[in-house]
Amino acid sequence: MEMQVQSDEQRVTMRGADMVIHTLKQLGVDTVFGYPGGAILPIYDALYQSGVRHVLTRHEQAAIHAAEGYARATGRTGTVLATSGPGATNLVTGIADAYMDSVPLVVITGQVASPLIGTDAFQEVDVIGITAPVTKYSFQARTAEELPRLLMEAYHIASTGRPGPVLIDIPKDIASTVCPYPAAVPVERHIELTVPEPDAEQLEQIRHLIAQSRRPLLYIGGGVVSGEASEELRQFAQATGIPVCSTLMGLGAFPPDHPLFLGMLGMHGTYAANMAVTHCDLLLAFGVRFDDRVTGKLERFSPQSTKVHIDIDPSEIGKIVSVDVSLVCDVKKALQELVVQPPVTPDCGEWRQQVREWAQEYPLSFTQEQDRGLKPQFVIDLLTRMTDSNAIVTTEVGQHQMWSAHFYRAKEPRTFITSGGLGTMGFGFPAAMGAQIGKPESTVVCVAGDASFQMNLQELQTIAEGNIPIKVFIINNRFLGMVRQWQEMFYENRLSESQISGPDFVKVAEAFGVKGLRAATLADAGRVMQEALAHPGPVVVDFMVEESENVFPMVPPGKANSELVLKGWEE
Amino acid sequence: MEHTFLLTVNNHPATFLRVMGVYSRRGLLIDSMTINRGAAPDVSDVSITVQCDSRMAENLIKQLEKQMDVIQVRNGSDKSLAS
Ligand SMILES: Cc1ncc(C[n+]2csc(CCOP(=O)(O)OP(=O)(O)O)c2C)c(N)n1
Repeated sequence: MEMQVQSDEQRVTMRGADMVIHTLKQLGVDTVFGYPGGAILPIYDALYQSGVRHVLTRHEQAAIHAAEGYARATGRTGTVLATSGPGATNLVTGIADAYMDSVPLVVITGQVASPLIGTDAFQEVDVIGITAPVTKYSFQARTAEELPRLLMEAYHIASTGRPGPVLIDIPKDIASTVCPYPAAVPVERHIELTVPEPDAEQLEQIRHLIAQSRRPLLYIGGGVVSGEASEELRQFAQATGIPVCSTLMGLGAFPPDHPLFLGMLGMHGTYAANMAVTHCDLLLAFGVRFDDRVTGKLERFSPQSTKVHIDIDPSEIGKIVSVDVSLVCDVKKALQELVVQPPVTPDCGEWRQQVREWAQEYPLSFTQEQDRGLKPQFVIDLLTRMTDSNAIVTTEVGQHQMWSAHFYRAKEPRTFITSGGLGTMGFGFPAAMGAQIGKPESTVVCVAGDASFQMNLQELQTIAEGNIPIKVFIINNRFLGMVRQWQEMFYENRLSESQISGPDFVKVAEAFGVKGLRAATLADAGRVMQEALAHPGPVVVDFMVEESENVFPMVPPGKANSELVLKGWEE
Repeated sequence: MEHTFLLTVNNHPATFLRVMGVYSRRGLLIDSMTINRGAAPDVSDVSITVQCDSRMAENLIKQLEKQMDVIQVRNGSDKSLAS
């Protein structure tokens, strides 16, 4: 670091780039994910031998998904570095992914030197313009002195209220300018966010509605995970006896084996959850956003219920569904209030009985015949049994993602990591790297589709080089399975471009210096999975599964949740 | 129905990009828009008029308030305030 003390003023001077690294260290950032290039060279120079760990991925998209995995697994803000132009545009998918799933990230991009901005200079793109719709906020630095403040604001904004990605674009000349480090450290912030406390009157209304209800239902989501409110949720459900269903993003926030848990609701939700949401008289929507994959046909979503919505983001209230009572606050605080001062326990024994019957009538299930090919569900169920759900599981996107949601019974928050809002193929593998770096003691498994894995498999080099011991379990059906399922069901089985080949994944892994294994039979599956989980380093396992399997239940697009197709059980 | 939104915003380079994005991604056309220097330095007063229903207008206000550089939004349905 170029740093010198001026004798007259006793002020430390350094380059803007050094201020960036200095501030990151002050903020306790110990790991960054990134990829260097021309415009960000000063910052990489300041990073050199700074003590901040840098994970060099093989593609910027993987760097940002890794930072997301780190953030989703730990709750801490993820940090990304990339150069201008193509480096910055390669981040866009990850920024959008983090925005949709409310993941706290600070993304630092290099930019061409200030005098060149707006001239179509080499590797110049308007990254602020490109990413404005998918960032919570963004800054372009105009002086070196303001860099420490911008960074502090960026981390504050990314992690306060509803979390999200914040971008800082730093022109190369600003990063290279030497000037005194601002005197007041920590520098005063220009932007300060606050979150309202739960309103006592609205809490009282909610208590009243609960006490009156005969068929109440909790519909919980990612807000409970990111709000660290799962313990309070468990206490509240326990105290009131209200059944719980979860969105994809909420999985892990409530114990899957709890008698009140009905599983996931929505398009690939359980029969019990979808029937319960259709028939409840009070819907307690906590930390959710009424996504279309959850509601099905909106006009027929939960038609009989009074609706209560608690969320930290005021713009979510009434966005999709008009609600009767809303509360804008931290869901953890609201639940704490409702636990400390509980409502009169609702008289809902009959309802609980009804819900239990639905759950028993059509539980999630599959049949694995001894002498037939491997079922994908069996592989994931095996993972649950072999790890006792003590692993962190990340998924790619497609059928295997839904089977993971069904059969990997995540029992702790932040142990089921998936791209929910954007549905990004290529997310799961790099996210697993980031999760493993954030949680070095955990077993981290990426459940991947054979096609999704091909979107970022260059990262095998990153895990080989860094000995990042993640386990990649490929559910290999030789298809874009989810695409094929829709073509079978809604496009008269016209399988347009949904069959996809792949390389020999075992050989590919080995070529990168990663252990590769394959299982094609029932007997192999157990033995190979055990070997993979016991291996101290990274492993790729190619599970060759039956290619024709589809995901059920399914609420067909445009249909109501009560019209779910149960076909899976009838076979 | 005509709705006029009166905003006070921090005048940063990306502020208008974000504010316009709230309207454009919902396919709304802007009937009229004025921007004036506000009372404080670096602050602007903005008035934007669009055609939409009241539910959308409510939604737009929340989306605008969510923008970090939007200090205040008022629904100036009283048209005399607009210009
Ligand atoms: C980047 C990206 N491109 C396209 C899609 C659309 N898509 C959703 S699922 C899917 C198929 C995924 O195939 P695979 O990874 O093999 O998983 P499977 O469904 O077979 O389990 C596709 C193409 C997507 N979600 N993301």
